Amino acid sequence: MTNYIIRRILLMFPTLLGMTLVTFLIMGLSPGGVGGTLLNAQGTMKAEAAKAQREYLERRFGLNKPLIVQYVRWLNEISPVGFETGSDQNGGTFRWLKTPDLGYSFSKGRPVASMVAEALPITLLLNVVTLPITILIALAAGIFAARRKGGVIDVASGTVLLALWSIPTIWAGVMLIGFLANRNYLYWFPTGGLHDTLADSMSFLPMHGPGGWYRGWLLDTCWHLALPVICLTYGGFAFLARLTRGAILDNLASDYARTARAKGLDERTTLFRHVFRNSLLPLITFSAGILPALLSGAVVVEYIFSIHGMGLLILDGVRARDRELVLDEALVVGFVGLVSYLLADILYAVADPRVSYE
Amino acid sequence: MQPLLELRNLTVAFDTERGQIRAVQEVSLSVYPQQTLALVGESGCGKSVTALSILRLIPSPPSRVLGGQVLLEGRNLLDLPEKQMQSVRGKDIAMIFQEPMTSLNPVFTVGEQIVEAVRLHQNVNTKQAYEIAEQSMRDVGIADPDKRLHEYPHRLSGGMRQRVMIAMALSCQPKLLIADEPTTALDVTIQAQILELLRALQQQRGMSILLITHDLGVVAENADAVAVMYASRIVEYASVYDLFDAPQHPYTQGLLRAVPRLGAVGQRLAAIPGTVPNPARFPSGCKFHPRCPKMNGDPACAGVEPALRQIEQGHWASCHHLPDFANKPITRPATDAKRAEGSAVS
Amino acid sequence: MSSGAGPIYPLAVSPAEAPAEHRSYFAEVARDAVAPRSAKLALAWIACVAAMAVLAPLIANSNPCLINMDGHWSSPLLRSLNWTDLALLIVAVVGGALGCVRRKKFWPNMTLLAACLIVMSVVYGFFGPPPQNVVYEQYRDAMRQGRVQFVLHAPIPYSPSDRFRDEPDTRLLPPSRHHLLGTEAFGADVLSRMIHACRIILAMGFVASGIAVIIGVVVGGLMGYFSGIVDILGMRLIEIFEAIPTLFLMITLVAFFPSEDYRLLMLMVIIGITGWTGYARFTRAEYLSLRSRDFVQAAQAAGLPLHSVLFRHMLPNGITPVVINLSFGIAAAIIAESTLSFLQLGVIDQPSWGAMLSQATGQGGDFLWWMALFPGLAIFLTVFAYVLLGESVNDALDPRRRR
Repeated sequence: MTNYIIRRILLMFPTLLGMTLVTFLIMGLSPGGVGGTLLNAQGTMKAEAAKAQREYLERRFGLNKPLIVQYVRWLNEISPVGFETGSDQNGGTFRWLKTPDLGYSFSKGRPVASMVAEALPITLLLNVVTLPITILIALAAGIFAARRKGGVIDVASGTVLLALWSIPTIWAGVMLIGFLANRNYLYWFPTGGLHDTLADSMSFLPMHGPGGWYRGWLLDTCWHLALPVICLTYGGFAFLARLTRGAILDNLASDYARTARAKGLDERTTLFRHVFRNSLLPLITFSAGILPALLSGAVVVEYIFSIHGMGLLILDGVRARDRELVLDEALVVGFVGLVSYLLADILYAVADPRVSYE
Repeated sequence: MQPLLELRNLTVAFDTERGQIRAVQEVSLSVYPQQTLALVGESGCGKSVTALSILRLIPSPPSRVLGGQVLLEGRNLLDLPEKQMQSVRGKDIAMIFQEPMTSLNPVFTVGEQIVEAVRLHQNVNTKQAYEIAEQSMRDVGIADPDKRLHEYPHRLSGGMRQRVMIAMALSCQPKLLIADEPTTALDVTIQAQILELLRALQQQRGMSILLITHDLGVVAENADAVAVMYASRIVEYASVYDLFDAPQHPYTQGLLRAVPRLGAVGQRLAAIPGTVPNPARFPSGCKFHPRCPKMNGDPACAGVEPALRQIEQGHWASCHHLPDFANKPITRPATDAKRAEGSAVS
Repeated sequence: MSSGAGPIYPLAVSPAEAPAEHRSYFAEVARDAVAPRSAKLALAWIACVAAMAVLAPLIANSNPCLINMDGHWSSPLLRSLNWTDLALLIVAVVGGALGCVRRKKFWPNMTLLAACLIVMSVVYGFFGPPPQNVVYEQYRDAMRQGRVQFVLHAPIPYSPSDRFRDEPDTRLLPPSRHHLLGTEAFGADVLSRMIHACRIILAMGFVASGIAVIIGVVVGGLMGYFSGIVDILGMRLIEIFEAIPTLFLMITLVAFFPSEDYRLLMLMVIIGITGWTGYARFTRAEYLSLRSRDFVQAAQAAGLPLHSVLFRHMLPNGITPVVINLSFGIAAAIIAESTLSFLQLGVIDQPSWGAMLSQATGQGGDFLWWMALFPGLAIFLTVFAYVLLGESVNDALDPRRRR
């Protein structure tokens, strides 16, 4: 098992390399090339000034170098092993251990690392809240439908789940924020963001103070999270619930379930003790696929609800055609995705004794 | 002597989109204490459905018992509430299945699965249950049962898994074991071992076995009495000696001719022409008539379904062409015949 | 009795009981797939969207169908049709007619269709209307001045880009008798824009998914057929593409290739090249099992060229999983286009349901419910229709449910 995990982690490197290379090539081969927006943003400058600025920027970010050099330079910077580059950007001494540097964003004028450090926890928070809710609802709905196989409720819930799955997130988000978080309609939820502007001065838990109840930081965050989490949840749970139902029905009709009944077990025990654990197996695989999908979904949801997480950072990065920002985003998003696939595979091996990965 | 298990006119149907299909029609049979009754037939003739109906394990819907009784020591299982039926399953009647590869739950150790059955029917604690399970695995000839208990099914071979299934079935000392094609999925040498084991265990414990098979070799070596099933009905019923010595129904005769024999060099194996009828489109009259060599255009065969009549003492068959068939009595087939110890049927 | 006797049914199969004459498998599957009522409704909705797409300029157009202005009869609507409009109409009419009359001959029909298109393009090139600036107000102005004796409008007398510069503020009006689904931020009619947006949906469905299927089948087919090193490299490529979230890849591509003139085409290509990995996986798996089959080896032994073995002989046997997933792929492509347009990375100025949805939250935090409800509902219904159809095809091809 340990061997397997180490091998999988090592295999991540070529995949991440490939991903960032694909992303870099898209940027590099595009008309205007890397940093096109930046270099052409001269406004009303005089010709000489524009030229000087251009040269400065090219030197500063190495934009005049061949594409492959730019890519390798970026690799060197993010790697913990490599050449220490000084401010002159021209080579340096080779070090076995140095501080990986995610580089400097053209468009924001800030180190990318600090931007990711702000944005990533927010998106991860969204996903960490969403995933368990999704899976719990999916299991409940799937078991509920499977136990009423062929009945009106089962057939109706099948169609409803399919419909839920088909609702585009953009529509759900716009409708929710429009009707439930708008002063002209129902104003039950905040229109955006993750915290109230005063959240920093709140106590953590709800408390009673002068002038009545204060909702506190925790409740305030939940209140802000409600609509975005609904948007991220419904599609995944509709999909997983259908999967659960199918898996449970398949397993209820299986030979080992028949053996369990022939032993004298009642239907309930057969379902919850024997069938349930086997039905979880396909769910684990698909939940792994959901996490990267949630990261994608975060782009839309963060855009609609103005939450400054990775999704909005990605949008800002590609709109500004910001080389370091886009490359680092590809790296972070790809890494999170690969880690989640690995976690799912490990979880699968734990849940299914037949899988050993030796 | 009173039979342990008696089926009286059991009829089971499946509801499908194209209407009702009667998979089992008016099946009557009796299993006596310590007797092995073999239920023989081709796939799709309804023998597995019969077996599952005894334990009420056929999924319903789509299937439904239309009529008849399943009497276990005089008690009709079909009338029992589900709760009581659960205490019959595994305790009074245990069952082993055709596919040992898939009949065990892959995510539990074999020990956990046997212990589950033990604790369900016997008032013991987990530790005692593990001891019973271990003993039961030793009884079915598994080496190192204390180690095997903690293994997952996928680590065991097919024959070993079938032994585990038998150990699980016998862990609660059932009165009747239903063995639904227990050896079909196994290698020939393993088949012989498993059958030998079943025979030995039956001798030790004095239980009855309802052996479902399509293999006449298995029947000849293990059964005391035989019921031959064709297209949802029993067409012949006799002690194993009577059946192999003097088969009455043309289908049984065809089956016996189709069995390869040692020493019969240079002869072609006889085959019954035609195929097993589809349960959705059974032929009229005698269901065997389209394939029957004795029919010869007899309108009775295509028109009237023959009842199962008692041809002689302890021998039942249903064929219009048997001598004086119409005047034979219609009785419920049952024979408590036992094979002589150590003898083989030829 | 000898022991170890075999099973008791060494029985011959009589010809009468053999499976009935094998009618076209695909025809049978197609019939089963559209049998459920949900699939029929889904097909009806898709057909409706397709009809809207083809007939959009005839249904919703500011130019009158027929007008008598200053004593001259003319049909500004017909003159306003451009080459795309005509080509779509020809394909629909000729294709539909041929499909009804002689459905067996696929390639001759295609040739005939292509010939019609070429002839029409030549005719259009010579006799078509000269390019001119569209002034939507001219007919309304003329009517106000009383110069129009007779006028017959299209059912919805507004073009999707008619901004009503001649009328008092028509921006952001809720649904009313004049504008059934209201107007958008620039004053154009929402219903008209929605009808014209059907074209993008239709194009996404066919072109983007088509590109994805072609790339997927070719790459997957080559991987499965050659296996070995080709397969290993291909799998790495697929893994790399799958590790990048599709939306991230798409927005990066869209942002860095902002083609002004061919934006829609670019969008379709981008959605196509980000969606091929699934098809490649399916085709690879099928081809891996097909390559050792007798008919493939016979084709190889006969010295047939590679493309013939790959696509004439193997493809029909290995296409089933692709067909099952095609409908879901189209649904995904439609969602992708809507999302990109919603994020203002999609088409510019052209009507698109996703872009309209993004205008629902207006300036100053107003919520324009009609801009959210109708385009969103249209996206949802179309996606739902394709998903239902896909489920139905899936069921029809499922060997467990098929008998």
